[in-house]
Amino acid sequence: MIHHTLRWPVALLLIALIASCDDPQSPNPPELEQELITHVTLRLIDSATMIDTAVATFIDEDGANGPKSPMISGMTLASGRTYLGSIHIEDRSNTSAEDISEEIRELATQHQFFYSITGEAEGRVTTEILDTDTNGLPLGLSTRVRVTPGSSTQGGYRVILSHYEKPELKTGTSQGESDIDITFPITIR
Amino acid sequence: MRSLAIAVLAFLSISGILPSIGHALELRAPVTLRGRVLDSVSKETLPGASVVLEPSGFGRRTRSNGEFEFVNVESGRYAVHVRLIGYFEKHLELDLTANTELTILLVPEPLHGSDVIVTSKDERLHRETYMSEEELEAVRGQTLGETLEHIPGVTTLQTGASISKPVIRGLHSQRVTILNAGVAQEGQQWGAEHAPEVDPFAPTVIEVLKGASSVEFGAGAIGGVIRLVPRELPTSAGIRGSLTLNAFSNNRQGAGSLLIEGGLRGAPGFGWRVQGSGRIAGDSRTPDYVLGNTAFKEDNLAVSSGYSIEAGGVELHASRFSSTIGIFSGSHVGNKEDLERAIERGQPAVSYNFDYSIEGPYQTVTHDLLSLGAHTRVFDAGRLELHYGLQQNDRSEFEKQRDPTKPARETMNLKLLTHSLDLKFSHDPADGWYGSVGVNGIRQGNTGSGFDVLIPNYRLHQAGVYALENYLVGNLTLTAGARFDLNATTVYPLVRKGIEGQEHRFSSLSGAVGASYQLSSELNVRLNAASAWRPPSINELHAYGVHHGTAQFEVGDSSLREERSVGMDLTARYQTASLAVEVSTYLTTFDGFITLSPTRRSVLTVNGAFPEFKYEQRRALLRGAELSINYQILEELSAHVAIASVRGDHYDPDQPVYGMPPDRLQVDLRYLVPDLRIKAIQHTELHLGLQAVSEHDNLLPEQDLTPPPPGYVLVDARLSTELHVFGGRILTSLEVQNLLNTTYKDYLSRYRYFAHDPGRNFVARLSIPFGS
Repeated sequence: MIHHTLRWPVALLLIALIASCDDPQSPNPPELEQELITHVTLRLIDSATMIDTAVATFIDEDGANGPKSPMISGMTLASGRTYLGSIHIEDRSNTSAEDISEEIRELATQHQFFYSITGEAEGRVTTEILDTDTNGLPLGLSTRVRVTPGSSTQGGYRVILSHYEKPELKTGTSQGESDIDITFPITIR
Repeated sequence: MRSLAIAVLAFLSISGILPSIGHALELRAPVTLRGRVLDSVSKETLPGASVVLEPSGFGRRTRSNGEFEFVNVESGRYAVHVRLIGYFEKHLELDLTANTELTILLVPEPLHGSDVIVTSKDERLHRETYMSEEELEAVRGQTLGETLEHIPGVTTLQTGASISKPVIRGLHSQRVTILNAGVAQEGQQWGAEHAPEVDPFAPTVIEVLKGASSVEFGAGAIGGVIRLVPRELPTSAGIRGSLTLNAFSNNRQGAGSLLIEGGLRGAPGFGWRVQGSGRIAGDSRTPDYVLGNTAFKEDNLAVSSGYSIEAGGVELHASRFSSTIGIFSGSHVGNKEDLERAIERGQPAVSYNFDYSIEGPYQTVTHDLLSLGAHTRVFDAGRLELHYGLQQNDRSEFEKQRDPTKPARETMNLKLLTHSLDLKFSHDPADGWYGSVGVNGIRQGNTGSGFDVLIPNYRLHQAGVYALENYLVGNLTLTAGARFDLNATTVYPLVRKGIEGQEHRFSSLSGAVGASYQLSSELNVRLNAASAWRPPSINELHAYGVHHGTAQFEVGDSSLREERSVGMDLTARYQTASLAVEVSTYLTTFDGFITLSPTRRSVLTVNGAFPEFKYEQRRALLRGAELSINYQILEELSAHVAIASVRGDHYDPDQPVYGMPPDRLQVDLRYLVPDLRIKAIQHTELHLGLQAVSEHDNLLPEQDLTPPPPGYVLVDARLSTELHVFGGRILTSLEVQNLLNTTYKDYLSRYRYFAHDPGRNFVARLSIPFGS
């Protein structure tokens, strides 16, 4: 026979079991807002005509940790031309799209873009940063891109956005934490 | 939380009723009870055993010679309860009418062959010497891990001062079970930076079972068990307690705990305890710089109550652990190239200022535990024990926003709710046979939210049944046990990560056999063999995402099968009055050892390409040895030496197992300052410790991002004393950790890519017991 001291624990156990049967199992958890970079658009306008435009895009709708692979489309640049470049960064993962480039402009002392050319096209394209932060250091939301004359070739146009924990870390040349590191395929004709 | 509140209310109201069942006691002339506690096999004396006299509630710990004494006890009928970890509890009934002498034999629990029993990190010196609970109070660390880390074979996986995960013989997380108040702790153990949610101030003794202990403790115990046994509740009237204050200079941390416990007049057998603690720590410092954003804070509260008579008892325990932990700013990288730059620097690029503020990234963890334990004698044949546990673990992770003036943003929240029920029957020893049978069940649900949620929602049911039997014949004890477990998990879809709804079912047998032989009164040899398994954990099945501390893209594999081990463990122990030597060696083979391995593919993201790592199953062999020597050089001077080494290798292809701890040597000298003949100062002790850690050498260069850090040597010193002032006692100690302010990196520190380990740390401890 079970001693009477066990009666209370059994009663208590039942109370605890009944009281706690509310553990959740909703298969679709509610979302927390999160900053993701889902869209990056690089737009180059021919500085002579101000009409001819080359556009490269990066789209990753579900962010870095989503199962969908990002879609990258490259651009074609004309040999010997000079372009005015601008980069536009957005987060469209939340209900209302967020313009991250605007935020970067406001926090210019903690950000800097780095542009470089990879592959065969190396040396054919130079990128000059036109905008600066309040400390006079380059930012890179707006650029001038020159394509030196030569034969047709292909390569990558690499864009890095460095984010600095503190403004003191930004020197104009040092890199911080990479918020963006995308290489767009380019063709020079 | 609502459920916890209801249960606590129920508990308090019932607790008030229980004492009325107590027995009255006839009082007669005082007598003295003396005795000795011995190991039933080796006949060696057992210091540190708890001897409680019921219903008086008086408790004693046996001294270094195994003796105890109760002077001037009212004569009458008593029950004597004797407890010592590693031994079966003993209960005697006694008619005390005259002065009495007793010899009490405790039967060892031989299946836990490789027990190391710690009541603090310094207990290793005290296995043969008496140590009061107050002394334990004087050496407590910042975390549970820190209290454990000097046991041979136990190391910690550190993520700063606040997160330390115990590693037993190279295994941790899902391979180690932590039992808190009789309930297996079910926290969010998915990451190496998720520490056990336990108050380091909790009044417990700690027991570490090294090696697979799955028969009694289930599938999670494939690597070992850490058992936190709450100190016994008082059983007599009167209020007592203690106030403990700790200060740590390195991170300018203040910590304190207040414990009050007592019984009720006229209700012998009833006891209660309330214990609360808190700590606030700022940023840690290496010898050369501040580790930015490593501040943390913690608040804990525990309420326990119990009623115990000779026929049985109940105990209810409710506790909340809550912490906010800053993650070192320099350990968060954007991509692989950032990480390479950070490794090249080897220390942070920014110079941080010390402060107590916690900014993103940080995490908050709350763990609520309600545990109910009951035991009673049944059928006059043995003891029936029941443990019910209800726990909720709530973890949130926060990241700083692009705009530093905005508060950190919550990126992930996980809530894990677990019910567990354990029932165990231990039959009384008869003709050399003793043992137990048990069943247990778990029901668990996990809900997550947030874009970066680590794991999908799931519901888990687990059931196990086991039997364990020992046979004692002459100098030989034989043990055999078997267990069957069933594990069913329903995973709910997580569309955003491409995870579909699915069911996982695992079931398997575990078993263990052991023998312990007392060759002579000094020498004991034990041999254990165990087969254990564990189901793959939910993160191993379904992880998907970038780990920003390692710049790895981690991918789970939903087709993983169970991990199985077969291991052997041989221990020899030689003990004389002044010398104790213990040597252990072990070997464990794993079939389907789950490990994160590079796939040589990369995953493209907006931050560039990340190398992909996938959870894979490989064959593995782990083996190691531990040596521990305690030597009483002089009456006042004792020395302790411990060496531990473990190696792990995979087969087909041959490759070392990642993350095994490097070899370790620990030397301690303890000097008991002779009586100063000053009444106000007593039990003064000087302690000098040296810890040497070798460079990790069993790893291929492609298995890690950087070569392992060089070995290092740390020195620490401690002075402790007992002050008798104002009619009371104050226990104090002053310790210096990393006395030489050595600059080093520990291989098991998660921050080793980015920064050094903390420098010199002065620790002051003060404990004031009060009450009857």
